[in-house]
Amino acid sequence: MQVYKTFFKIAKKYLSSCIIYFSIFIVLLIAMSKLGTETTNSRFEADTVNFAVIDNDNTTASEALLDYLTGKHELVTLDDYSNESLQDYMYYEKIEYVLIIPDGYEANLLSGKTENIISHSMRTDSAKGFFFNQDVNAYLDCLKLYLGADYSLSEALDATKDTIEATADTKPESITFEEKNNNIVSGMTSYFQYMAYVMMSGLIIAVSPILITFHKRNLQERLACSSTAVRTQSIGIGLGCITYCIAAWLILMVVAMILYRPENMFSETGLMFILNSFVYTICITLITLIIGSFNLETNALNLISNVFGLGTSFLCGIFVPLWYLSDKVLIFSQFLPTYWYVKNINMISGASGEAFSKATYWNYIGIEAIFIAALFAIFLLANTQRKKKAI
Amino acid sequence: MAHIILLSWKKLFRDKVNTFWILCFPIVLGTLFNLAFSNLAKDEKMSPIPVAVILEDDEYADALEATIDEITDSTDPMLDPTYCTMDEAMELLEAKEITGILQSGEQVSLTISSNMTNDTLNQSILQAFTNEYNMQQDAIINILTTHPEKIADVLDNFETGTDYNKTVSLSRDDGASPFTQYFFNLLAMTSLFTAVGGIKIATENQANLTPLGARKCVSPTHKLVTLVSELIATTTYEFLLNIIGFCYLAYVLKVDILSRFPLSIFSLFISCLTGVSLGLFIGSLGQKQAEFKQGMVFAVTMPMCFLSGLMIGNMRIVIEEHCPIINKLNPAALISDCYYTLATYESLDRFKTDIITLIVYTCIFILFGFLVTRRQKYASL
Repeated sequence: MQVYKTFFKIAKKYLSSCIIYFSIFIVLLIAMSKLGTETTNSRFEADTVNFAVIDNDNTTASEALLDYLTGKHELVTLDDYSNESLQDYMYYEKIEYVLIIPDGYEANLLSGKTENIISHSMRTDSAKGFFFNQDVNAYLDCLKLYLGADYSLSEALDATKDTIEATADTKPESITFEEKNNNIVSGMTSYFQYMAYVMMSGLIIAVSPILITFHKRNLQERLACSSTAVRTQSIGIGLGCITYCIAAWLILMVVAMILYRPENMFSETGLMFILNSFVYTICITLITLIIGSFNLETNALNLISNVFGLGTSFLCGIFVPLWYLSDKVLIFSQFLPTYWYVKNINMISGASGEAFSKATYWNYIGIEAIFIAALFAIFLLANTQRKKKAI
Repeated sequence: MAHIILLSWKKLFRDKVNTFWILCFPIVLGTLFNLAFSNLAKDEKMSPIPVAVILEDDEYADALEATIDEITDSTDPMLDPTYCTMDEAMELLEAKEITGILQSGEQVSLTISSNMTNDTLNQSILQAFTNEYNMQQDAIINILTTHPEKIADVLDNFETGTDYNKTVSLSRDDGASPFTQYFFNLLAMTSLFTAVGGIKIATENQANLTPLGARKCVSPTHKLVTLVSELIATTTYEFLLNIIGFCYLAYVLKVDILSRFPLSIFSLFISCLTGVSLGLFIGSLGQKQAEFKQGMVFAVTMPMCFLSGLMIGNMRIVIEEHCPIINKLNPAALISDCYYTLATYESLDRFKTDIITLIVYTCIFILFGFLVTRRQKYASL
């Protein structure tokens, strides 16, 4: 109990910096959960594209192509069409695609020289441009069919226009199947997902300085010759650390309740998210205890917390969804508890396409529990080694 | 001055744990970033899209079946069809075993599930396929009606997959990966983390914070000389460590950051200088211990890096829409923008603006640090 109380006396000394860290991380968490998911998913959808055109041909054929594209996408008129301006507009997503119709487009169309008849530049971090290309190809394929059947240019353009009108109604029908867990409030999934990053970085950076105080050489030597058993000391520090981390987790849960309302948080899905995050918090607490066992300086600690926080976030599906990672990376990620935490979230929310099952949920929780056992063993080992060294 | 620089270098070099971590930081994180983006950056062969095909009892069914069989028999098939009834197809769609249902008819119709939010790419591909198929089917039917004698020629001469639309690059670098900007932000973060070195300079020159500061305060060396010498030593030392990280990203991970090498290295130097002077500035504020101030470096730089897009790629764009001034003032955004403009633009105007803003920051930070730490008098220590 004495060591446990001492832990909080030291924690009090670091309270001001902890409050600053947590305030910053909570603001980051709220911002990330608001922005994250929508931006990742929208990158891979076919959608209306903002495009600009440099039409050097200015003929009936080029205008017909533009009419067709304007019907499906948003033509943006720019003040300046220089390379640099176009790059700027493209970078800030004012436009996503630049279509260049060269002089001689109509003539080439009539003579059948359709290879590379037009050119384009587009943003490559989104699939939108590729679908815009598909639309252009579909139009030119159709026009080419009519021209091949000896239609005159104006007849072919008109016929293509009719075809477009005739097929305009074939939008896909979207069906929503009823799922057991579709009462998830928008943003709650992202909140719990990004919480893994915040907990990993935040707890290591905030709790490790307290742990390191215990491991300073002079204090370590004094503790080693005290009447309190080494085991009692370790248990006191461990319990102190767990209490501290659970308190931090509770704060994040309170924030979540404010954001997503208690009735959603205490729904079946909400409780599953909460339990998953609790088990994960224990994992991180143990990682923090292990890192705290080494007598590191604040700077090194801060860098380590970033390596752990950012590294696992990129590899375990927090900043880049798991289904976009390569199989080789996923094999490596499976050795990290964050992977199973995120996988569970994806399954509960249905984001990954994995069908929800309670058995799988408990399996993933079980795997996180195995990590807890393994990390606890490492912590005990590191602690014993350190004590031996101190004596 | 040279003597102080030499001694500072020695002191920095002897701090092996910090040196190791500063060196490791970009290398480890860069490797992890590279692993995470490896799959997104390369043009991977796409696996066939599972799709249910329902053939109605009409003349259009044969055409759809023939087209799908042709696609399936190709060396790199786009579709993986299952021919079945509507009920079976709906079951498959509900079980998320297929991406969509194609149903033959005068117009081929596509049905998708809104529950499959992670499969939007494949859904969009199916949508594009359906659209293209319907347009071609309609065109062929029209030609059959109006020019039936030409239909054989048309079909013989018609080859889908003609490359109509050539890709041209507007930037200097044709093959730049869109994920390079994460590495630009990583470089910005490592440069700003050199602020920890600046914190040490500030606290080790304040007599009320460290015993070393107290000894330095009674020495006859001019404060400006001490500060400037230590600033030069720390900046050059951290710069050298950062160059190793930069070279690792460029030569080992093959990240596209080598365009205009001298200017990139110059940007790295200026950003390290800004980082160290930011540390000097934070270190000069208040009476807190060095550990607290080091923590503050991270508390200040992490939000900066978040705003410049380290965690969410298009953060800068969101900011540009809502509050563009942040992008022009945020040091992390300015540093990553330096690398971006060097890789993208022929003109160096924007690069110059970024560098000048960073230099102005550096001057303000150093001036403030010097004014706060000079001529301090203590009643007792």
